[in-house]
Amino acid sequence: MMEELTEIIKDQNNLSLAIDTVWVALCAALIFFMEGGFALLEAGFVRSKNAMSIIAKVIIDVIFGGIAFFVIGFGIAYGASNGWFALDFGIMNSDLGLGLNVSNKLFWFIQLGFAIAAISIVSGALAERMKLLSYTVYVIVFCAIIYPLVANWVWNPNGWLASRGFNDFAGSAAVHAMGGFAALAAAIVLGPRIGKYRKDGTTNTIPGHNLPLAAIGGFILWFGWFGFNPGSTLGAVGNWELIGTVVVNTFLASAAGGISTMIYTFYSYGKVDITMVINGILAGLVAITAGCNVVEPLSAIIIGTVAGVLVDVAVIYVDKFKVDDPVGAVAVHGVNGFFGTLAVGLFAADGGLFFGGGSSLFLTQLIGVLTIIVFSFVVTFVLMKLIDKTLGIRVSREEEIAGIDAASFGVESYSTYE
Amino acid sequence: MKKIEAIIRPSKLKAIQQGLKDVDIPCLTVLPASGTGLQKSFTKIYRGTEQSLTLQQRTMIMCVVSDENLDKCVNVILKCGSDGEVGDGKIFIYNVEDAIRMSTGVRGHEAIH
Repeated sequence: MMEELTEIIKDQNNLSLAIDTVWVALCAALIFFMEGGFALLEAGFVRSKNAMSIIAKVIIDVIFGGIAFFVIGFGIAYGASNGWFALDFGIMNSDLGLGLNVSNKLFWFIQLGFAIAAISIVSGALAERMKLLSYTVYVIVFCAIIYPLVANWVWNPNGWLASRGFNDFAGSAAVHAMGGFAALAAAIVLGPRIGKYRKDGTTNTIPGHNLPLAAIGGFILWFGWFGFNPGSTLGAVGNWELIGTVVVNTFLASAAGGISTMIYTFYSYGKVDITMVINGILAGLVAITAGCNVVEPLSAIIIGTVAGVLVDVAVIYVDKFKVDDPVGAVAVHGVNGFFGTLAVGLFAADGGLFFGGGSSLFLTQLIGVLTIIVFSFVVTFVLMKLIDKTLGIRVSREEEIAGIDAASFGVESYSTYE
Repeated sequence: MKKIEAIIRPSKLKAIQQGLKDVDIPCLTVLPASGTGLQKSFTKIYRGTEQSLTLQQRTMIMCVVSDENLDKCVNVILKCGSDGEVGDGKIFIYNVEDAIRMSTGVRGHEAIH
């Protein structure tokens, strides 16, 4: 009798681990597919002469970034941490202290998705003018050290932000603000594309060559986000209520972001700017990513609505400062990652400033996200300057004018004649 | 032999093609074109910034016809392609030296008939 009972409990336990594993593996694959979304979104927003080069950048994010995150990145993020730093190699076998119901290897795979998403945010802002080799060097350092350090602070059980109760469920701060402000620093060092700003200081628009492609990219990212946020539960068993909350909040914020951008652009420009609506939806997604586990649906709508306006204003301001960001990475991910992290401190049903929780959570969120963006901005700025001094970061003027596709890869995205 | 180049509104292409077929001048070559004439264009906005130099989408039709078919062809294009408004397009007419049908090598008037 006792033996039978032990057997049943063991079976139950196995089943529960299997369910969690299936859930996390599924979400990790969805997150991985977001790279396809980044590739299409960015390719659509650049000129056709550079479409393959931006896809090459996203491929580099995945292959070089992925190996770098395996070799040392994961160890720095999830090894035994002193609060700021850990050092380990490969995928550790020991218990990571996260109470995982999936293997460390599968956990690595879902974390890989986060790391390559963060670097892919940067790739868009550097479109059409960065040298491939220099970009590859940056990708390796980013996925091996820069991103893992931030992940260590936020998600390692001993991370200094984790121990302070910093709530960044799926990475508004650790992935999006981090990537967005790295993108800002990199774009500043890199300088604008030739012809983007005229001598008199006015902006010359350089429209993307294939907006339907960009829109499909937006849809794929949107789809993948339903792995990104719900998958951050890291297990399905016992989380059925939480997963529902996360999914609904994720959707509501994205829809609200799209609506508010539609209304904002209509009233500002007299037309609905659909390329900005794509960004507005993504802005809503970025902003809800930190707090999707702790806010009420109505709060998610408010967060998304604010994000949809913030992204429009930010795109204009980034342009005013003559920072050339062809895809809006800084406005979508940087600004809204920052806002989304703060929004947790305001809207958290338990502990948020607007819900009678006082200001302590808000302050924690503020300190955390400020540290992260200053860190990623400064480190990227210095690193880009170093790469510039050694390898050079810009393609030659001739190559930029001819297009990187033809000059570096010897291909054209669209060869019209048979 | 004359060559007719007409820059038309893309929305008029089907009507013109049908019209030319109806008068038994069915051969034409069509190219996408963009350009600007005297018409006021839509203001184009891209990501919050107004574009200063914009071009309109148009379609270019090219037909080579015999001298006697010239007026017929031009009349069809005018009838089917014009709204009587600025922005309808332009028709240009050129003399053609020679024409060669590639499948047979036949030259001159025979090649386009």
